[in-house]
Amino acid sequence: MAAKATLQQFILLPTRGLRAQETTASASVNAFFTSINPGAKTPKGRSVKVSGAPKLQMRVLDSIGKNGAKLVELSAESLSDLKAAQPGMRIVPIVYYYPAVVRRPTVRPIPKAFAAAAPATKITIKIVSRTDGKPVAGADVVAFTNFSQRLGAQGKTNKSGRVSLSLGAAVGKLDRLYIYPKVGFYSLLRTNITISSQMELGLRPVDLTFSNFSDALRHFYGNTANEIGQGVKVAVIDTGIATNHSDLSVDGGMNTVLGEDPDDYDDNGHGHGTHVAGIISAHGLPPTGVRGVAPAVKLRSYRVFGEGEEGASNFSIAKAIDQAITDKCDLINMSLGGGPDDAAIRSAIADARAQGCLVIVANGNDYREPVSFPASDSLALAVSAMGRLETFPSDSTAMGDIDVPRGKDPKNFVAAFSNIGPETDLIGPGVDIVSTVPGGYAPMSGTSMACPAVTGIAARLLSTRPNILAMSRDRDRSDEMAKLLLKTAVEQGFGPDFEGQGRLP
Amino acid sequence: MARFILRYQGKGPKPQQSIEQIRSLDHISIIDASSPRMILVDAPEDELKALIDSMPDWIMSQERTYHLPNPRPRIR
Repeated sequence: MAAKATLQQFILLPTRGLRAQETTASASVNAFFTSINPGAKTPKGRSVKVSGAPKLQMRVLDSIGKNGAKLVELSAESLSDLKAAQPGMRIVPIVYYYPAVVRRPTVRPIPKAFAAAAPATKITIKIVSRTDGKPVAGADVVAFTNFSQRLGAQGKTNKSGRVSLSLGAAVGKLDRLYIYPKVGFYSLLRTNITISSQMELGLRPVDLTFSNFSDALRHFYGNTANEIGQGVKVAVIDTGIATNHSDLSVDGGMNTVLGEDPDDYDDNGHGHGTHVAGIISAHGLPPTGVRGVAPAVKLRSYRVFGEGEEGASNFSIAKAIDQAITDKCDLINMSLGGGPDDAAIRSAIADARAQGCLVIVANGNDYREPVSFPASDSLALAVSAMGRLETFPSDSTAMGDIDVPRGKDPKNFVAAFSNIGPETDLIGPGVDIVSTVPGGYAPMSGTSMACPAVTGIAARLLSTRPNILAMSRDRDRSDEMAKLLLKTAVEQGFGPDFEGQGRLP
Repeated sequence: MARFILRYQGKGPKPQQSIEQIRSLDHISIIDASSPRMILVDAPEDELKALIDSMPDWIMSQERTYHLPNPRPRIR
């Protein structure tokens, strides 16, 4: 017998303020708010039907006025269906606040005394290409002596492919060894390795013909015709895009990092933005290049990570969203997040929706933690990551990303690193996806890769709907775009917390 | 003093009158006003909050940093 769904309470709000009116909500949301009211106030509220979601069971418990915020009760599993039927609302879980009483002190166990320090074990690892033995420089090497405790050492290979690591005392084995090359090779995962002072490991080069296996992106979406995605403008808010890559065409953009040249929206050296861009619209072809899922979109780069910086400020991000709106982008891809909820970014996302533009955001990669902000904003489309067996080498680090649940096709899985939760809207391929990087090509994994897969297929779908693209740039337009995507998605059998409405076909 | 984002949520670009009001605050330093909807300032939080609370359609948010999601296992 199926378990009874747990009911939760949520507050439905227009995009701004508490009341749905012309300036704060689309016509569809206005009508919806007016139509669902609790009637005579009882604790159990009133059961209501939602057009476009026939299976949805929802009760309206309370309302602020006739067209104001609604307190509703439904199962978290149904949230995805509600959002697909009415994508233009903010949906926030109910939150309770308590008196700030002082906690009583608690006793912590005293740690055991440490043994006398002993000399550390030092090793040197050399990384080479399996095909020609040449050294691989710039590869990140992460060696765990105890993986469950995350103890170990890490470094980067030098010009001769070597890295020296200092491990704990009397270490004889490595629990796990991860090698992450920057360009041209697959990553490597080795387990239970006996240590020697000098070790050499070979990496498999990336094969752009995919003759041994397709990566998951090509498995699901194949090689795309060059004209796919025409008429759609896509913003990539990221580390910048390598404008000199032969497989990419960048139509323009802006660097919104304070103190940097606004016209320098090139990749800041990290490679992340270039990889994301290639998934969406690379226009190369095997054996010398790669093809994205919507090669004909107009691609714009908004760089929010500074030169050599690992972080982007909320100001840069909000400014980039604003600029993408001004530049009439239809879709905004944000493969970033993980910080606290922020009013400025929320406001910018609301502005994007109000001006006919959809923001698509990666869920985050914290191993089944809740969906990160800003993906968790109900006006954004949040994307989780899936993988597929036999789409990467058997010794790639991607082997560590295989997890449950499996899909209707048991070769499909939700990536172990993917954040999940009721805010998830769609799922995309995000394990060992081959794409463009500065200087060549590389596989990468993450909801960062799943997000542009969804953005690119969204662009594909929108390009076949000129009637939606021709709508005035307002909330009705972005609502229609969201409805198209959420209704077109196909369930993969993972469940709504893992996949939302599913994968775009 | 910390840095704060002031964002206009009304229709259109931020009104000039509001900008002048913000500039008139004691000990405020305008860092970036190039965005049509936002100003980045360095100012005392309490005074800034009191001012923004009195200005309809404006919100305030502390400047903070977001990172690229990284699925790689990390050394503790």
